[in-house]
Amino acid sequence: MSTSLGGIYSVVDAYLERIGQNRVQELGEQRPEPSKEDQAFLIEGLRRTRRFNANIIIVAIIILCAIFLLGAFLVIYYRSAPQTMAMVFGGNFLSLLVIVAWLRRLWFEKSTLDLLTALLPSLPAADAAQVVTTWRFQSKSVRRGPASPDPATPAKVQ
Amino acid sequence: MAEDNVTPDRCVIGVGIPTSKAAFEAAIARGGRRFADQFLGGWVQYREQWIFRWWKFTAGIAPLGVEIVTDLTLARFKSMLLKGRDVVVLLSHWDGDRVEFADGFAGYSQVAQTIPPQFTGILDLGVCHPDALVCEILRTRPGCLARYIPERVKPDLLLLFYQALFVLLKEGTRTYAEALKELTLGLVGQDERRVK
Repeated sequence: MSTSLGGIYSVVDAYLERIGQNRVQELGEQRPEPSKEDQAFLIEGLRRTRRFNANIIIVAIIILCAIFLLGAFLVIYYRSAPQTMAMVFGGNFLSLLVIVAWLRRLWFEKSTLDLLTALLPSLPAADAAQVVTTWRFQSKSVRRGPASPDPATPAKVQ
Repeated sequence: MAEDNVTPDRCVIGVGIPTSKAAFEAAIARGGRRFADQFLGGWVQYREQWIFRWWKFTAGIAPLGVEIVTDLTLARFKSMLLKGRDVVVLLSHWDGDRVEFADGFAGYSQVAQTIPPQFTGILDLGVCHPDALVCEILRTRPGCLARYIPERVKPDLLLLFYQALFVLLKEGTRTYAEALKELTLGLVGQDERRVK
């Protein structure tokens, strides 16, 4: 189940592999220009992920509502046992937090997918490749944390 | 000179492709099929795929005593060759029949002309399939021994190779050719064992 940006990342990584941007460039190589077919491959993958994502969001909302209703039912059912009621309430609250965090990630993925699927078809293949490659490496960089500082220049480097 | 044992402090590496953000941006601004232009994601991608490996490499070989010259221009390349080192390694990008330097591309004959006629060391060409340059060196600089790879090269693998090579040379008991041979055979042996 796609609980994070795994879906979108795997689609974009497959595209980057296809256009040769997912590995360091060779020293005598001229990169091939991304083609319309590559772009169509990417857009199709993103649309498929978006459809899947929409279904997952519905499932997440249903689970959220079900947990809330179950919690409300149990709280009423155990209204005469405050200790049990407190435990049920606490457990329910924690479960809801997990679902909300999951929904937040799905919402972020949905926004990104909506943006990319709206933007990419109108761009030339080369520009689309630039946008997607930049986005992918920026997001990798954000996940990695602040950039490592340039190490102290070795004494003999001129 | 090629028959003498070589130690890393008798070697110098010159790098024509960018190794810093400023050099990367300057290369992009200059344009024209340079190594930096191959990275569609700009500096962040370049740093992720190349610079981090470069940093690791320099941190690994600088203590061995290898001299590293970054932002290599054709003029600096010439001064590297004039230093009297046994081995000069040129690490750069090859495009068509020219080599990338920090100040622009230089055609293979221009590069060969830059080699001082009195240079009798080893010029190790860490660029992809520079066949035209090698032929020109053989023709015009017979005293210079050129080593090259007639195939396309992944720079990250090249860095690992050189790092291992300099570690071998640190022992001071091998000529450059012997160290190259030993390392290559070792790698081929590893590869064969893995296949089996």
